[in-house]
Amino acid sequence: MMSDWSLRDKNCIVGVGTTEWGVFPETDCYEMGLRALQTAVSECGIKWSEIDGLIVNRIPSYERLAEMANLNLRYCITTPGEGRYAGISLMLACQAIASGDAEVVALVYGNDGKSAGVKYGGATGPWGPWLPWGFTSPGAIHAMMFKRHMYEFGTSSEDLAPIAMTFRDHALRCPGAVMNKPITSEDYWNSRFICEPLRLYDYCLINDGGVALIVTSAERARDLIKPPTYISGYARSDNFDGSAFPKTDYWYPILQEVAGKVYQRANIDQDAVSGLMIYDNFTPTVLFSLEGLGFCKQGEGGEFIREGNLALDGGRWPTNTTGGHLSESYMQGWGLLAEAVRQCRRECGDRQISDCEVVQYVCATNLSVSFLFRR
Amino acid sequence: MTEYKPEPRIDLWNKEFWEACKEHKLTAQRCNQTGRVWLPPSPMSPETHDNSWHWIELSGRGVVWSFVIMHQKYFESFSEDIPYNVAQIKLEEGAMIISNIVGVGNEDIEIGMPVHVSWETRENLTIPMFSPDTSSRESL
Repeated sequence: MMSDWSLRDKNCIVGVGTTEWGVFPETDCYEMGLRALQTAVSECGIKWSEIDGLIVNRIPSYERLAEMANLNLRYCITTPGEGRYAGISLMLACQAIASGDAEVVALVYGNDGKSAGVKYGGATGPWGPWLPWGFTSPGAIHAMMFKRHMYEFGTSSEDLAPIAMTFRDHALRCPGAVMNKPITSEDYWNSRFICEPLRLYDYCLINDGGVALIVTSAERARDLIKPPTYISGYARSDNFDGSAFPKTDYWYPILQEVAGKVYQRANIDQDAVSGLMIYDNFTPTVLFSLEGLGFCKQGEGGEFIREGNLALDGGRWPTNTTGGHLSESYMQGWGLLAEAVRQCRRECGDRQISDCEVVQYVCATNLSVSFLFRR
Repeated sequence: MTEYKPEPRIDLWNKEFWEACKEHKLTAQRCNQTGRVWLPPSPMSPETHDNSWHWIELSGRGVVWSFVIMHQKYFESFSEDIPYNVAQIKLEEGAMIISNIVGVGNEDIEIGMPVHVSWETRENLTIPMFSPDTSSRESL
């Protein structure tokens, strides 16, 4: 299976910064992004003057951010403020470095949506043509897909409950996680429906915070303070056919395509993956991701989850070791990318995946993305 | 003051769809070459990538592909309907549509259930809803 891919292990994440998570009406996304960037820069020891690329996400103006940080850039871009663009932003950073357009790229994410009262559903927002029928919110789209999955494969909420409970258990080991009380099975089943079949605990959190990553070439990464985390491989596949509707294929074909590429590009087998960071906007996305990447057969995701494969305690592929979007913090993929690096560096204390070598990130949407990181 | 339910966002391409609804006609675009029928309306055939398409009137029959029950209040105007259903319906001609199933309790909706269009009149709007199709149930 050895084959060449020009970007394999060529770029590294060398600095990571995260803010506290919570509700911070006294500040805004610029400050949160910049506070995270300060941490990322100081932990890796890169000079501010070396940052020549900037990728901004969810912060309205790259120009204002670059001005505030007094960056001297050759490359600068804002990506759409949707969670699917966390991974895509990181790809762009790799491409910019590989092409020589930048040497050190800072990726900066800031989210003040909780304080700003951002709503995910309702009459305002890009919720498509179905408002007259009261169909709105990303959660409802995932609920519609999962209901069909239940019909087609015999899955049920019994398969989702362990995801919510496991990630909450992980959050309890993560200082600063927004949620700090366990979810019992009883809590899960007693939680109210938001969009049936999905309940409150099937939904991610909404909170403020910021994340920053510093990416540079493997050569430049060598003499920095932190051990580099290699970006061994990534792959992406998009599909917009019928995207005005909840997808009828659970993104399975494009995730299969991503799986077919990402391991080969990285020259890493699935079996060598130590842990997973799965974009968990809603619990069914975790199930769809596992099936799509081939961690289990399609339709067997529920059983795979109920067997405890995602748990830090005894699971084959401990997943979302911070608690993820469901229980740690709603950082739209950025928090998971930060955790992937920290796991590879073995900095995670109580929640450390033992002997962690390789962490895989996946975001299952109409633009599906996966990364393989190694220490 | 009563808050009305959200109105569709009329654009260049769905205008004809909503105009036809006023006459209780459910319509969609059909590719002249491949016969593919699609919604929501758009400027070109997604199959042949040209402008060779025309509007057709649909039979109004379909089956429930999937459905959800909305419990959260996202719209004041839907508050008295909660919990209300929303269904993804696969129409006989192949296109999907999102709508509500009327004339049946939420607990009696099933995936695969045959449905047909029925019409609801609101302020300035005639909107397609779907009802269980009892006549064709035995045949499926």
